[in-house]
Amino acid sequence: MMAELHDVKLESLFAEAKHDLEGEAITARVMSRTRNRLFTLLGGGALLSLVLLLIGWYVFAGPLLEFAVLVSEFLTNPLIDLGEGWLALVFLPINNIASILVLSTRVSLLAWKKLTGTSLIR
Amino acid sequence: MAVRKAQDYYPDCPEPFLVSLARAGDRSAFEELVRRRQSQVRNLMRRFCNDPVLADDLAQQVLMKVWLNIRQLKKSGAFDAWLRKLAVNVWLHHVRRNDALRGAGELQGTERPRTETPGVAVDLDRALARLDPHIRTCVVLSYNEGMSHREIAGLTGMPLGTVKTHIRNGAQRLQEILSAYEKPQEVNAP
Repeated sequence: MMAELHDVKLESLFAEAKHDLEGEAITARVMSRTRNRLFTLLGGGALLSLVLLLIGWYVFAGPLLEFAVLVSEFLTNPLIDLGEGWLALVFLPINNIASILVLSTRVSLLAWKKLTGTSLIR
Repeated sequence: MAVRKAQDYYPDCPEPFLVSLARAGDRSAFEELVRRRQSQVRNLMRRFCNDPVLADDLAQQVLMKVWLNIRQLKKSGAFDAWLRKLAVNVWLHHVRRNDALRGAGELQGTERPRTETPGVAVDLDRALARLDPHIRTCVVLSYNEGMSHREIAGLTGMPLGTVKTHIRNGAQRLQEILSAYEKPQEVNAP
């Protein structure tokens, strides 16, 4: 490799010109800029999320509500038709699909705990 | 006894460790890096632009770029070269933008006030300011940063031959300009 000759005088001049600059002010300014950028990003993210939420609400609120109504109607359908008398009122809390689902889940969890000795729900 | 926080140990930490922490998003580690490197970056920018105010502004841009891109740095040990590369890129970007704006009324370096700069640095920066920005970049990287011609070519994207010519011509021109500074100053009588 060819030697890269440097002018000695110039080299010493460059070395002499280098000096330690006080750094607290510039460090504070840089850190402040990083903080501002972080806040800007967080603010922008929050604003974007809000806008997306509002758009989502505007677009999906109607269909979601309809779906929720349909599901709740389905789950509260009586399993056995007991008419509209006192017997229907007495059995109302358990005479529907939702109650059966809750009870079967509860029984499954208990059975699992009995069989394995561990709980699925922590 | 007061319990010391992890950040209290940062001034004693080796740089690669701080770089790793900063890469993981630790702002205190980054702050320590800024504290350690600001002088180097500002000195380099002062040699480039002969304007302490502009140099500090460009140095801030460099340090912000470090914070924004430090996750892209693969090896913590390569921080020094990477920082220098960012600094040169910021400077070359400034030169290109200035070339485009030339004559649009932008302040020239020598018109700005200077602060906390010793005499030698002032003379050197003034002499450097008289060189073409690309020649100046090569000379500063060679003499101030101690980079090889090949490294400068790789960093600036200039052909190796051009870099060598720029450094040779730039050094000659600097010697001519600075030899005038070495002559005893004559006092102009009114």
